[in-house]
Amino acid sequence: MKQSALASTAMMIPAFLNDIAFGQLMARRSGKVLVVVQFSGGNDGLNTIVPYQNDLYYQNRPSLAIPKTEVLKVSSDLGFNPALQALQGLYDDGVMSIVNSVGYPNPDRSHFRSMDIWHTASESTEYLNSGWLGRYLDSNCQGCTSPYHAIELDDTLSLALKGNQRRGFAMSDPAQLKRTTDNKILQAVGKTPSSVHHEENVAYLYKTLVETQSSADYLFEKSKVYRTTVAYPQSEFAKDLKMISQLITADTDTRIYYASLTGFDTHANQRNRQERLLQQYAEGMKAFVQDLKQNNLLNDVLIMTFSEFGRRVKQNASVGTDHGTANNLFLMGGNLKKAGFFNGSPNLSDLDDGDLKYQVDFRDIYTTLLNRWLDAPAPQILGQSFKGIDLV
Amino acid sequence: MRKVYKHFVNEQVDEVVVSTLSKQFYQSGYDIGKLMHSIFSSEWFYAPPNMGNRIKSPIEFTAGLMRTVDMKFDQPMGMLFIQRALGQILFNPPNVAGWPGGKTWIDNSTLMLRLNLPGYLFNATEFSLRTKGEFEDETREKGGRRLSNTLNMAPLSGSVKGSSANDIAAELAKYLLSAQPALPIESYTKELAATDRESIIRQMTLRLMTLPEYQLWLRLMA
Repeated sequence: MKQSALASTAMMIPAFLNDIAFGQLMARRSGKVLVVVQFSGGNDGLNTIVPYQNDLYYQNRPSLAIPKTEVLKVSSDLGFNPALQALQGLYDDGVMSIVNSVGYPNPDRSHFRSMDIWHTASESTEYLNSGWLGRYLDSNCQGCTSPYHAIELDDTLSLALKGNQRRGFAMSDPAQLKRTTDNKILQAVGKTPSSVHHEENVAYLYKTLVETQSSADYLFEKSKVYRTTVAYPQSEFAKDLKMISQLITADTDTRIYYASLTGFDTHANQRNRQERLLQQYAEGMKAFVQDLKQNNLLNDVLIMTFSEFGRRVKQNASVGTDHGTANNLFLMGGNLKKAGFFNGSPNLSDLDDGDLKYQVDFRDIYTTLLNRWLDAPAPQILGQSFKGIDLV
Repeated sequence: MRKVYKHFVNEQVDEVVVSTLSKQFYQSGYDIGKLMHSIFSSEWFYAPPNMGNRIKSPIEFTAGLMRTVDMKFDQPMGMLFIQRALGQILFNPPNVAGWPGGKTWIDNSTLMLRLNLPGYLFNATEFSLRTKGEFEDETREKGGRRLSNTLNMAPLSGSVKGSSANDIAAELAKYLLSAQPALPIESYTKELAATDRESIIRQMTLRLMTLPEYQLWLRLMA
C-alpha cells in the first residue's frame, strides 16, 4: 500500500515538475503572502532588543542585563542580544522593522488569556471564539475551493486560524499529513459521491475528510517542486521555515503561513535558555529570508513575529523574569515603509506597576496587515476600526 | 433558548419552535424542568432531521469509544493527550462561555485524528502527533507515540447475533452509527483478514468507528 503510493508519486514527479518549472513557477505570484511567527511563553523583549544606554535597565537587572560590551549595537540606544547576530544582516539590509512597546489596554498576564487576546484580537474584557486570521478567511475566502489558504505548521490548529465559517489548515509536514490519510477505510469512504450525504453535519464531515485527503496529495507534491540551495539550521523551527519557503516558491495557493517557537517562559536562569531560542530564531530567519531573496520573493512576503506578552522590567530572584505586558514585534520583508526601528525605545521610567506601558495597539498592526497586505476589510474582521500604522 | 435548542435539538435553529418555547418558558416562570419536559416529549424532537445530527465532543467521542469496547489505558496520561489534541480538556473550558461545540470541534487535524484514533487504539499503532507544548517547554512534543491499552470485546460480541460478516456489520452499524452509513453494508466488509466470528466483530467495530458517521451522536430509538 505504502509502496504503491510512493511508486505512483514518483511517476508523477517529472510531468509535474515540468508543468511547474515552465508554467506556474515562472508566472506571476498569485498574491502577497503573510507569515506569522509566534514566540510562545512570553519572550523577554528587553533582553532581545536591549536599551544598552539606559541606566534603569541595568539597575533593574543587576545579574540579568546584557552587558553593554556584548550588545550588538544597531542604533544610538538600542542593540540586539548577541544571540541575534544572524539578524543584524537583515537589519542592515533594510528588510527588518522593529516596533517597540506593542500591547493592548488592560493587559492580562496569563499566557492562555493573553495569547487568546492576540489570537482573537479581542478586548481584554471580551471573549471571542474565532481568530483574526480565521475571520480573514471568512471574509476574503468565501469562494475558496481549497482549505489550505492558511496553513499552520503544526499538527493542531491555533485559535488565530479558526474563523466562524472557515478554518485554516494544520500540518506539521506534508509527508506526515499524508500518513494520516493513508487509512484504507478512509480512502474508500472518501470516494463516496457527495450526493449521498443528506444530513448537514454528515456532509460537513465528509467534505472535510475529502478536502484533507486532496490537500494532502496537493501539498505533498508542492513540497517537492523546489529544493532550496540555502543551508538551513537543524532546528525544528528552521525545518518549518524551510517547508514554508518550499511551498511559497512552488506557488502554493496559500496566503498565510503560521509557525511558532515555544519555551520563552523564562522564570529562572533566563539567559541561556532565551538565547538558545533567539539564536534558533535568528539563524532560521536568516536562511529563510535569504532563500526568499534568491527566488525574488522577498517583496511578496511579509513576516510578522510576536509574543503574547513581554516580561517585567525587574529581574526576579531566580535570575529570570516574570510575566509582563508590552513587547517588541518584528516585521521582515522587502516592502517595509520604515526599516529599522519604527518607533522610540520603551520608556523604563514611566511604568505601570513595574511593567511597560504599551504605545502601539497590536490591532493597529493587524489593521495595516489586513488592509494593505491582505486586501481585507480590517474593521469588519476586527469588529472595530483602528487607524493602523504606516508599516507596509 | 437558541442555545438550549442548539445543544439538545439541532445546530440548525428552527426559529418558530424557539419562539414558542421561549414564550412557554417565560409563562412557566423560567421552570427549566418544564422546559426540558416539553422539549423531550415533543413530536419534533424525534423527527428524523433532529436525530443523530450532533457532532460528539472529544470527551463524548472518546468516552463512548472506550465504553463500547471496555477499554483501559495503560498510562492514564493517554487520556489527557487525546483531550489536548482534540481540543477539550475536562474541567478546563476556554472561558466562561464553555466550548463552542458543534462544527467547531472539527478542523482538518482534529477530524483526521478522530477518524484514525480507533485504529491507533485497537492496534496500539505508533503514530506521530505533536500537541501545542506547554509554555515553559522548550521543545514541542514530537516523535512517535503509542497509546497502549487493553480492550475487552466480550460485552459487545455477546450482544451480536448474526454470523455472516454482512449480518454482523449491519447489526454493529445499527448499534454504533447515527445514520445509515453512506455505502451499502457489503462495501465495508471487503477484505476482512479474519474469518472467525470474534475477529470479524473486532475488525468490523474498528471499521465502523473509523467512519465519519461515528462522529455523530446516535439516533434515539423513538
